[in-house]
Amino acid sequence: MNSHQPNSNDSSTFSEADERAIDALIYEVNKLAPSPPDLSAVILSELARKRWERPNSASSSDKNSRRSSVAATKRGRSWFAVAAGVLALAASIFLILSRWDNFVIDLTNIAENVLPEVSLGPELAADKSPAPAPTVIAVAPPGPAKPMTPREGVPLVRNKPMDATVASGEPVVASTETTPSGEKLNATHAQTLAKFNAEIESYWDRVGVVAAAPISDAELADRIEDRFGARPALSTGETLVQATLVSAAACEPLATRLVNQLFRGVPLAPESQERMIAEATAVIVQGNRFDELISRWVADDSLFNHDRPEQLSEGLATNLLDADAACARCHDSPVDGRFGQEDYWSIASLFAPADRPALFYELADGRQRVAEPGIPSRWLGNVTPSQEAPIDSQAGQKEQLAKQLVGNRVLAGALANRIWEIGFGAPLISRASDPIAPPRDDTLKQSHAALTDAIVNSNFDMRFVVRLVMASDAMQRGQSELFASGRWRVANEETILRDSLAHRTFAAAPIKQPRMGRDQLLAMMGSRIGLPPRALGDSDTVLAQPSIGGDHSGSSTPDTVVPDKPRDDEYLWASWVADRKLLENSWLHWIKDPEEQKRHAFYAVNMSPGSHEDDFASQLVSPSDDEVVATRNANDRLYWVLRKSL
Amino acid sequence: MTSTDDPANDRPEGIRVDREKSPEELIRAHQAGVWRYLRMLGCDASLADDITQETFLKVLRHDRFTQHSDIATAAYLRRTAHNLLVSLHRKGGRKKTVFTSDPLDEIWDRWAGKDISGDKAIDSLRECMQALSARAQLALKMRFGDEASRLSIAEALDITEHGARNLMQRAKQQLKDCVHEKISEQNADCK
Repeated sequence: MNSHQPNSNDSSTFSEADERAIDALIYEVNKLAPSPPDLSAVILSELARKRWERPNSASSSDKNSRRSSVAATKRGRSWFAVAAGVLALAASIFLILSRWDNFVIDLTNIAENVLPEVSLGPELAADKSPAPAPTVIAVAPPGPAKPMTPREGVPLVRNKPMDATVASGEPVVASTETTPSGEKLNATHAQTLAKFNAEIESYWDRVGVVAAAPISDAELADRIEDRFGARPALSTGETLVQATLVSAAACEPLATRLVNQLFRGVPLAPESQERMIAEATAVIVQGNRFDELISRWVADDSLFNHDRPEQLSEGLATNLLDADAACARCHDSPVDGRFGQEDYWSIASLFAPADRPALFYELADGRQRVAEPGIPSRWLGNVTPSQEAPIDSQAGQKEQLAKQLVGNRVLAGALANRIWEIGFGAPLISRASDPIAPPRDDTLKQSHAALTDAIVNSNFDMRFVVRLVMASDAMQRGQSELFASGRWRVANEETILRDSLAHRTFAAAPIKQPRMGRDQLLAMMGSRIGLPPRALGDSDTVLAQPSIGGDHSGSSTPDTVVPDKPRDDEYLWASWVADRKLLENSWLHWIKDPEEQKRHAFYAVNMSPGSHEDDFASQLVSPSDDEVVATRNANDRLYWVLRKSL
Repeated sequence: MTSTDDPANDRPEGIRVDREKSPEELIRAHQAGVWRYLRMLGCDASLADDITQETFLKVLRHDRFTQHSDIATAAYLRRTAHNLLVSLHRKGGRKKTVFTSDPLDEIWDRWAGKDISGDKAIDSLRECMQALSARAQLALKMRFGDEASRLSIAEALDITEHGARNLMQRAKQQLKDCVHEKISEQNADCK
């Protein structure tokens, strides 16, 4: 197996990465580039300022003029802020000391109302130096341009998206619903939902997307039925979401989807799936612990086909632990350092048949190794070694693995992603190796953490969590106006990119994407990049001629296309326009050798390059591409076509 | 400070533990390393400034951040900076920076080793440049000090433009080998 990275000790190779590194150092030595600046004053000032503001301050209501907090500080506001803070501190200490009793009462009153999040604890706890006393607690003004976020712990019941509720300017009050199905559950649900919604909205704020308009209850009911498999059965006094998953019949479609998600790519024994769906349905409808069910499944050899243990273990790890482990089959993952090749094969050997000779794997340099059965602690989120005595037997270790799944937070996080994938078509947090993934940000991780917490705190009650997702703000968003109106057909790349970001970040519902076969996608791609039309079958509906105008403005269509009928290739081309910028910065470009790059593109979509597929990449080299980037572009297109055509 | 010096430290004997630094000390100790790391990944100075600041703000505001040792903290900061750069590129906000990947901190390991600031890499590079031929030194000085074009360099050295390119590539290769050797020696001394 060839290594895809140049050997750093090989003097005949000089990678692009090394070249950039040495250039940066030489610039510094020759004084053309500045030496590292002293940023400590700026950072400390910003740190002090951030402690007394909301994480997502309403200081700028105009997203278009938003600047990074760091860039704003660089304009010289930091010193002013420090001086103002010192004066305010002195004044407030004097004020507090002179009016101590009233200060305590005022704090209590403020705490009972809706407040912006003033974080007093965590940063100070992490900082061993003495913390200054709080100065002014800012209270958000009434009638805010941005929705207000309630303090954690204040339940917020919201049956409609935030805009409708807060726009009226009325204070948001807590309410508990008193339906017979459980007051306590509703209050917990409302509290958890509020926290989750707040995190998702922070994420949208951070990535700079505007959420689409909300949909009606009727549309929401359709959407729930479409995505989760069961239509809400409303009776008097129930909310839409409470009316879902109330019976085994209603839970079975969800159980089917969940089992499909959890065991995607995992070789199952015949009839296993049916049994798992039945068991999952029973656990969901009763609100029992789903983690214990998964644990029993993992320990049950009869459910799986063990002919290819590495495929089995990789599938389980990927779906149950969100392990980004595909790369680790052949080498240590270059994307996520937790997933090493040795660990990959250790866990694979746990699932090897007992009567099979030792499992061998090949290192990147071609040497062979025997896989030692073991449980990679990092994959399970264990940062400290297990205190239990080591278990020698393979069977014992597999039982221990199954046991460690119960109550496991990594499993909870993976379940959060699988449920989200059922509802939105993509996980909440994509794997790091996914080239076409929503932007990562702390706020997205916090959203995921909130959903994970809900799973753990509800004792892995899937019905509770799925209802949470159904009731989430994101679930109630319609399509972006650009895609709903069809104006994307004449929009430029920048506009398409911006609106597709809303889809990818769950701020707008995606259009039901057309599906095209691989040959049709190749033809579509080829026609757009200036290649001669490919010969296709008689039933082919793909346009054989490219549209006039690169940005589709004023494009004319040939007589063979019905003008009012949406053309699948037009939408998919727009989708490619949005995705290709991400591919330019993906790990595919870390691989310098074009053949290796192509091989990895196939592997990333679980395909093996055959003699037929080998032609694909060469078909995707545009005559107008610069020679240097031709192959890279062709492999990007290849990856995209393979992925979209699955 | 070793475990025997600090009675509150219950780590196994022989494991070195550095005293936990205040935020200001942490920034001063590590900012140069993070900044240089970002420059090595291809950021211009302005972007490196921005992301360095964001890195420290992010880490210092994280309530679970624990300082195990300088080396571990430096690696954690570099990883955070790397992730911030990846996120920035995914948002498509920056078009001019050419992003170079650094999968397993390999770049830093190769060029700076266990040095958390990168000062040793710079010092090593200075020493190694002295060992180059006069022509190679001149070529690099013109290129990286005066931003001279390859044509100007070729004319100054009375060689072809292609020859000037080869000369600089060979010189960089020599510098790479020389710096790596020095870094490896330093790493061995640290063990």
